[in-house]
Amino acid sequence: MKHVLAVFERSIYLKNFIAMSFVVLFTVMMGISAQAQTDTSVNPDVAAPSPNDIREFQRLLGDTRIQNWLKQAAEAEPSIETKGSGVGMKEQLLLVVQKIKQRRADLREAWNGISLTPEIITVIWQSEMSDTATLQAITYLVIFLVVGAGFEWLYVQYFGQRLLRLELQKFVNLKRRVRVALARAALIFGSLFVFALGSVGTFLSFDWPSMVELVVLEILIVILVVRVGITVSRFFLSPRVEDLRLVSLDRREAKAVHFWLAVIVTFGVVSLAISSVFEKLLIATTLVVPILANLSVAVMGMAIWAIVTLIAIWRIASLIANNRDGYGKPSANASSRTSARFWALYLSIIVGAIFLLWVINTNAVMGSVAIFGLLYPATVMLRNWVDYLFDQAESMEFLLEQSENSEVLVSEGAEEIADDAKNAAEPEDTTSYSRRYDTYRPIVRRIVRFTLIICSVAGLVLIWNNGVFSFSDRSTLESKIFEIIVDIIVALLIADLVWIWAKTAIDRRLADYVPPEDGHAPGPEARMATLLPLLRVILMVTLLTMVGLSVLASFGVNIAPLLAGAGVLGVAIGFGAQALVRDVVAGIFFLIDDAFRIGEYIEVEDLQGTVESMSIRSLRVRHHRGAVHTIPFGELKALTNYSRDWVIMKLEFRIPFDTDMQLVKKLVKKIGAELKENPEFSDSIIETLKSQGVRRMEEFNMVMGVKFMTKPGEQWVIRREAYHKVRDAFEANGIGFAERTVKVEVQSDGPLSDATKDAVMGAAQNAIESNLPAPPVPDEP
Amino acid sequence: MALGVFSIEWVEASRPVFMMFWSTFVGGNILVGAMIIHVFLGMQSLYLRNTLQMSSYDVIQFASALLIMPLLIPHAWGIIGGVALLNYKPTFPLMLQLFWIDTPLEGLRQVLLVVVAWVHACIGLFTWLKLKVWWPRIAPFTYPLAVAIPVLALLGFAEGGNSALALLQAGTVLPIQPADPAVQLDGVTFSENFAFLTTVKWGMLYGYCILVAAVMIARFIRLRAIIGMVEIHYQNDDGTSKSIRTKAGASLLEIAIMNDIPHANLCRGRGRCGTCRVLVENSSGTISQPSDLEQATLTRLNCPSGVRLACQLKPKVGSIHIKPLMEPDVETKNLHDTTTGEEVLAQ
Repeated sequence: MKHVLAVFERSIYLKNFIAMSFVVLFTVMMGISAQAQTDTSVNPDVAAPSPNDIREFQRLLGDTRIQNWLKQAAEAEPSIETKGSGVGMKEQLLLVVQKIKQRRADLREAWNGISLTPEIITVIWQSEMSDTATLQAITYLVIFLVVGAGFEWLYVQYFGQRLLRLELQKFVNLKRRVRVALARAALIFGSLFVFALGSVGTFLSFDWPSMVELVVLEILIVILVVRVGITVSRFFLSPRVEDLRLVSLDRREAKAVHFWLAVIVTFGVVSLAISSVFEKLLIATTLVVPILANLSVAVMGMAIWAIVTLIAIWRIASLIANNRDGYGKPSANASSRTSARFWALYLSIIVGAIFLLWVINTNAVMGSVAIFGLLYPATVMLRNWVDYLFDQAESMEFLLEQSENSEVLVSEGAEEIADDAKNAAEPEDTTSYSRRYDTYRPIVRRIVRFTLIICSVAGLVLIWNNGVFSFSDRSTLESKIFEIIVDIIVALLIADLVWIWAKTAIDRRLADYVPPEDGHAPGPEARMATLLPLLRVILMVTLLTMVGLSVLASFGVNIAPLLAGAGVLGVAIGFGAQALVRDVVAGIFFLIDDAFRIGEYIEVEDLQGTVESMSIRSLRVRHHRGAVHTIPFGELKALTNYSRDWVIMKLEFRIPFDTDMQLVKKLVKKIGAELKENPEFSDSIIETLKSQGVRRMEEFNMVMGVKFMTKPGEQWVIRREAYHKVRDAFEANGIGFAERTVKVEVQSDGPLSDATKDAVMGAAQNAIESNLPAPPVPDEP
Repeated sequence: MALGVFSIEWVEASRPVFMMFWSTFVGGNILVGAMIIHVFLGMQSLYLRNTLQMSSYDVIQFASALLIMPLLIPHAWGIIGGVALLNYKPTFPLMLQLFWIDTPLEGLRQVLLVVVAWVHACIGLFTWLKLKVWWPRIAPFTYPLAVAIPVLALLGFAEGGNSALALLQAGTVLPIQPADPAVQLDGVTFSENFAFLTTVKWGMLYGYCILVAAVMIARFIRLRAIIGMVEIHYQNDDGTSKSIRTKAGASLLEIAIMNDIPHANLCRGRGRCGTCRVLVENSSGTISQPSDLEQATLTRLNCPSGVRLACQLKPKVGSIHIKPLMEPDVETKNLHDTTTGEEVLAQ
């Protein structure tokens, strides 16, 4: 329970941050995807087609105007290339400065003309589209939307019940939850797809005047993009269904974040669409208008977008800082309030900086600021998110165990059951469920971070390749350095990933290993305890070598000779250390076979003893009389292990022929029961003492068999006790052990002379000695 | 109108058949009368609603209900008045030309009217039909029809508009000449008639707005009396429980919808289906007696005492413990399965 509480407490810390970063990341992603579009709006003299919609592009490709533009652009391309390689750093910087200056002048002009902009828009709009055409466009739009919505409604009628069932499910584990969330997302996206199919499909089946088509299509796209954004946000935030939410926000927060995301997406898409439509109107119009009118429109749109984003950030921050639970008590604590404020401030600064850099037309710098500024928050956010998911998974396992426990105690009241189960589960929670995800948590964290860094680097490369410091020419110094840095980062990240994975796996297994107490047989995990640290060292050395080599390679050092040298050296060492290698490899396989463990009694050919220690090459066995044998693994062929699972011990007693076997059987049974009851032995005994009846008849006595089964190593003590007890019991019941007697019959009535007596004794001695049973096999260490 | 996908002539040819009944005196009066009664019933339900936070279906239903009148008045009045006073003959080709070329705003209004009215009608109709035993069997075939008819009608309208535009551009059809304002019709000039029609139209629109506003104000005054918070404790079948605290006044079902708590409601809070019924385990204050409607439903379902309909029960300030009796994903086919119904009640 404590654990679960800690999880929830932690989630409060995290959630504010997650929520806001979510908003900003969303915005920036959209901003970057819309980058090209804004690019075109800031270069009014170059009429670039919007790359956002391919259909539009295809239509435009048929346009002679665009064809001309493409031709011009194609001609301009090589000159830019040569310019990029020809000029140095200083000239490029000068170019940037000049560009900014130009932009400043443009902005000033645009600012002066800003009051005229609405008028210009109206005039151009009316010149291109009459009121009738506008109204017709709207009518068409309504029709398309109705068609789309109708299709979607139909879809919902058929699949709505399924969606409802998904939303009502209770989940047993995280995997199931994610799967249901994905199924739900598929259903929601299906409905969106049907909507798009209906509306866009109808749109495509009509012939259009070009201007009406442009506007209608743009509006359709706006609606679709906004809906896609909302659907994505709905997948993660799930504002209505708590069980499907994938982030650590409560209902109110999720609703607020969802709402603001929708607002941001809407404003962003609408402002981009307006500036794009306006720009196209500007190109199409025959009226003479100030060329910078579109700049002021774009800047205004962007400014509104930035302001909306800022409002969203601060609204969410204040909501989280002042969050109250259902009963009006504040649930956020002071530190989470502070962190909410801090992150709101930080993200506001980033948003402001991005906007300003966009305004002064330094897109590459803007992209870099966006990437660098958001890399850290994104890393923290994703790490927290991964942690949250793992915490969730763990607490779900915990609850599952709880419910399993509570099933046992059905007779008691519901609340008591829960409490009992909590108490019962608490001591074992550290061992059973929390470990299950411990291996994966750091790995997933690393993978997420890795992906993030790779994406940022790729983003940077993309930005700068199109920017001022063009790396299209591979021979420049900075591009070289950049490449090297990228190579090194990638190599280090991959090595780090592998290392963390191996290390957590190894450390976890080592942590699980509890060294056996003295006198107890070690558990099955003992075998790897020897090998794993070694494996770790080998892995580290290998990784370091590989990273070192790849770094050298990316610096341009030719590593082929190094590799060849290492290869030759390896072969030489290999020949020299053939036996050593054989020992090591054989050792690994013996360990994998689990042929022996530390503390077990084994026999290898004629050597016997307890396994004392294992090194990487050899095995150390101590004989029960103290001698220590060292056996290289390579020498091991067949190996006998006396310490596995169980041991059967058979005892024999010689009793006279006149013994009452029923009594003996009863006595042995009683002794067996006594032994079993003795707490000292009861754990070791698998099958207690049992009479096997007469095993064979000998000349002067019967041999009665008794057997028992114990755990390995315990049989000696029990045998001792069994002997004691059998002897005592036999004596108490008047059963004597058979003693060897030799009857010498002397056929004479008179007293024997001393010589005769000696002869008789000698004959008896002979008879005794010739019939002596084989000496017992020493089987005890 | 769906025939317009093929040709305008077909549409025109079919007009007398479709319009036969509605064009008669009795038919027309029935139509107008039904419309007015519908409006007042809607106003009543708006007045009686304690909260405006509803499920998405109800929001659409209400919004479309409020929009129908402003969209319908110009159309209905235009037809009635136009035919009576201006001697217009409302044929489809004329209307298409009117809507697409001369007054495109009216065309847009007409499209919106069709959509809004259709949506409103479909929601109302399906909410009613949903409870019928035979509905699950025919629903899969009815739903496509419900989409296909307006879609085809609108496409026909658009196609008709396109061909009207084409005809206009080809010069086959001349733009409608504005009638001579001085033409006398029963001794009144056209422009006077037209001005009269417009005044009445706007008068009706304003009147409607005032009506809605008055209802809203009356509702606001009525709701001012309800102050305080209510605490609701849900006890679920699986032993879990949930508590929420919210403003008093709304019904249990509305509170559940506002708080995203899944709650069965097949008839969407009309008190007909009984799927929202809950067992009131205890309550801090008195709870109102069931209304006739609610009592009828409860009797029909043989509910024991203590069982109430969540859509009708408006808990008073204080706390109430309830136990929903139906699964939230109940379907019409479960509704008529008496065995499950009895099982649920036996608990």
